[in-house]
Amino acid sequence: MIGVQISRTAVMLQLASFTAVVLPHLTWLPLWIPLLALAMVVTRMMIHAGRWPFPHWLIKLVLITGSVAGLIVSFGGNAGPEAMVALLILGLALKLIEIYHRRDALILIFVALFVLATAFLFHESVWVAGYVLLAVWLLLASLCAIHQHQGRSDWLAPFKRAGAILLPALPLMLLLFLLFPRLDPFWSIEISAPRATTGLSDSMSPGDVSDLALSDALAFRVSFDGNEPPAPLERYWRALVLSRFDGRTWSQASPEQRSRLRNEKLVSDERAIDYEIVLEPSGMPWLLALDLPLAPAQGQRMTPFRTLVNASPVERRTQYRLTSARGYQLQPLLTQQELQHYLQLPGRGNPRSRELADQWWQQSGGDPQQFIRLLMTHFNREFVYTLSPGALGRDGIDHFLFQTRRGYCEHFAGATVFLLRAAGIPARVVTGYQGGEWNPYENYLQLRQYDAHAWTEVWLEGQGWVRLDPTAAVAPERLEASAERFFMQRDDMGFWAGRGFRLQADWARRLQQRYEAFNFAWHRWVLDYQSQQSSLLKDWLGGLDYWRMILALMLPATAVLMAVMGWQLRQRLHRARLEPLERDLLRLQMLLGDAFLPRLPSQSLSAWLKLLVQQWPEQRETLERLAQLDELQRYARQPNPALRQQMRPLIAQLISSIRERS
Amino acid sequence: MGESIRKRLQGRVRRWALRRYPRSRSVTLTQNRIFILPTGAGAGFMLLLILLLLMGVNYENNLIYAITFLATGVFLVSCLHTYNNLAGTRLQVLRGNSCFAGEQAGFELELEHPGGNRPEQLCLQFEQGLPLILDLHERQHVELFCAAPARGWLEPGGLKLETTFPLGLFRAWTWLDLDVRALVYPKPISGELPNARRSGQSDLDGVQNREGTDDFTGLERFQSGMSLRQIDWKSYARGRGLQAKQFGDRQSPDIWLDLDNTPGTLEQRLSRLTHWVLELSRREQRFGLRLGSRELSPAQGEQHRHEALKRLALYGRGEDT
Repeated sequence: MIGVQISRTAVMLQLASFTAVVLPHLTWLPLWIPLLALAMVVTRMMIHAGRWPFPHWLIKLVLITGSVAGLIVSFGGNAGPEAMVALLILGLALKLIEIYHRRDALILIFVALFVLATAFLFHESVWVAGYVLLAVWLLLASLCAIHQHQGRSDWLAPFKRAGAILLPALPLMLLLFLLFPRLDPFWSIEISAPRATTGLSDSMSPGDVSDLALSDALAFRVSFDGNEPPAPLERYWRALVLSRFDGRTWSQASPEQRSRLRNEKLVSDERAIDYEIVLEPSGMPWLLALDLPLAPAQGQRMTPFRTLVNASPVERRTQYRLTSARGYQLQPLLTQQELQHYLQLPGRGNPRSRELADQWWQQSGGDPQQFIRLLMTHFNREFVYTLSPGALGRDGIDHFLFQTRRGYCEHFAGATVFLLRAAGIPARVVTGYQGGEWNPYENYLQLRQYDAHAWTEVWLEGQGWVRLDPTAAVAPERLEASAERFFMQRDDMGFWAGRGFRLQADWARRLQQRYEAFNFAWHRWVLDYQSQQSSLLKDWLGGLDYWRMILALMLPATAVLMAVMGWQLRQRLHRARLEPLERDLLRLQMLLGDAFLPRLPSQSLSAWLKLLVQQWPEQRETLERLAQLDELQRYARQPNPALRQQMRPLIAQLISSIRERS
Repeated sequence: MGESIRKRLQGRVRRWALRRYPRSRSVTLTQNRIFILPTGAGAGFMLLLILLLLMGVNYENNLIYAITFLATGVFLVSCLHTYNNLAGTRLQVLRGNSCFAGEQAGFELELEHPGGNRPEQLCLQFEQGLPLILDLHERQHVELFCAAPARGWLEPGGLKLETTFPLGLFRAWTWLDLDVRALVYPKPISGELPNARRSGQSDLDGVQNREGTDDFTGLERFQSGMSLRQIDWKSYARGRGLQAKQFGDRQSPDIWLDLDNTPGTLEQRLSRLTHWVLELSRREQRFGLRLGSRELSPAQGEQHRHEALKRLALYGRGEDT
């Protein structure tokens, strides 16, 4: 039955399936592949319309060689998933011009289903998932179509049938999805080249963070155990500690310097907070943690200054759980080497700033706390917090402190650390994110790139490293609300520049939050289900062992399949009940069987009725007429409902007379 | 290799299935009669499921897991659909039609399915027969053919009903043993009938000259080869076209077909007599048939022809009915 020719409807459905499968890959396929695919679809349609013949084998050979050459040029030696999918799509496209028999169509649909699944390697949004579900329906319909009668041309029947198969498959899918154990990869897979992403870089020059503030891309999302987020002023998400300064740019300690720094000692009190971070791909290895993380999660490393680094750059959305201390003391003692490192400044430059630091140090009488107070008061009085601070000259810090007096967080943080170090107080710049927007629908905190922030840590005798955020002195509102809200209220043009229309109305905002909450739930419960699975199953099943899982899988699966079977059976019985003639005949057989002789299974109805004539001669005429009608309708070339209708009054007559007899 | 295993398995299932149920004229297919296994395409689909799962595991992609599980669900549900495409079908055998040896005997069946979905692409096939694929509607009358190699009663053997509809991933099938037989006449072989004789005479070639010229019996359409003298010019003049006058012997002499007087082996002789029974019936000639000690007295007509053929078919088979 495999060599059967398929119907024209089926051919069209194959073409539609192929197109549907290629569409999600258009975002990344080299342009020539979709063009070739389109050419193949057109060719097949021309063949279908009878305008072109099936192509000569030489043409096929040229196409195959050309495609292979094209693949080598496009993907070179990189045999990643892209190359594999491209190869499959080309194979499908070339197969398309040969579908004629059922076997060809089968191969096409199976490979197409696989290619469709690979779409998830490139797209994971809920929209693509919905699209793929519809495409599966289409594929099933075309699979149905190749198995139906080749003369049939209706479009609806295959879709109906495919829907009837797909619908009960959905609960089965859900069940397997929930219960199937997630295995570790069998072999490691090269992730393709990083995509361009925005995020913190490993150094900070004036303007870096404010550039980020122009992006409203999602940076990460956090959900807290107990759904209780920390207070806005505690929401400091540290990523990097920058302790080297070259006069313009702050950067991380070099590896050689780092080797001289000890792991900083954390003394924390009881207050800790557990949370889970879902980090968007950044292409960088550093991770975020609420000040200050107690220990790294699996696959992560902690730097000496309590920041977290992933084993490899974050190329895909990553989820991890952490615990952070809320009250702590960090590194109460510094070695001489460490002290030197955190006091380092370039030998020259920014002379006026150094002068100012000296002057304040005198004023404060050598008390670092007093020095800090002077510094903050100064910022508070004379400085403007803005996203468009204007360009800084050669001695950037001097220029900022004495001329422009306008800056974003990195200007303030950089200047603060410079002044502190100049006065002999150890200090460093910390970058990361601050604040975040609470989503009440799904209970999580959402941080966007414009929440990127830079602040400082200062080391004080007896207290260790203490967070000092100069932004708090300039624009305390910025820390209480999200950056967006802050600039919205201030109507800072710099923040809005470069961004198009943005929803500001309250209802629109709520709508957006709902949409974002939905996306987050999609990520947590579907895309990253493995991190929820074990705790979820434990809650449901009261424990995790194999027999429980098998039972949990078998019972509902059986229930679903039984339900489908029951429904099908009911339909049959329902139809059977609707056949009144058969019902009447059954009654007649029962009554006459009891009164005279039962009908044997091998006897035809007419043979039995003829036998009855001898036993019940009074009804001879009716019995014979009934037998005759039954033979007529049974042996008729076409079903004859009229004959069947004529039988019913006769049966009714026989039934009533047998009742009178008894 | 796989094919031969499948054949052997099918054979075993067939024997077992046929033994389980008595021969009957009417069958409703229920779950204990239906077998179901994945087809080759079904095995391919399972391979696809494994590949999908591998991809899901290796890329740790939950959506690929999901589509794998969806496809698994489709696979299971399609099994039910295939089963349901066969289950509930009612099949009744009506009669077996006679044929000549070497031809295909037709068996008339009536199929009916009371259920909601109409079975599609049902394949019916006798072990030695030709497959018939049909979409079943309300109630359907079909004729299914089975090779009839030798004369006598033909019992068609097991009837296989199978379907792979709707997705072709599973094959559901059943074997039925039907209480039906067809009469197979000997294969007609043309040839001389040297020993034919009219009643009362020993040997005559009157068979060839059966059309006399004495008595007008009617008109028939003129065909080339007929004598021009036979044309009824009067009716031609009336514009009724060329008609030929038919003349026949008022009382054609009876012809006896005698097995003993026919040359050749038994089968050849029976075949030759079959040919002459057909030929004489076509010519509407009275004839008698003598097979050994049994005689069929001369007569003419459909009934007679059938009786003669039946006797030829069953001669020496030990069955008279």
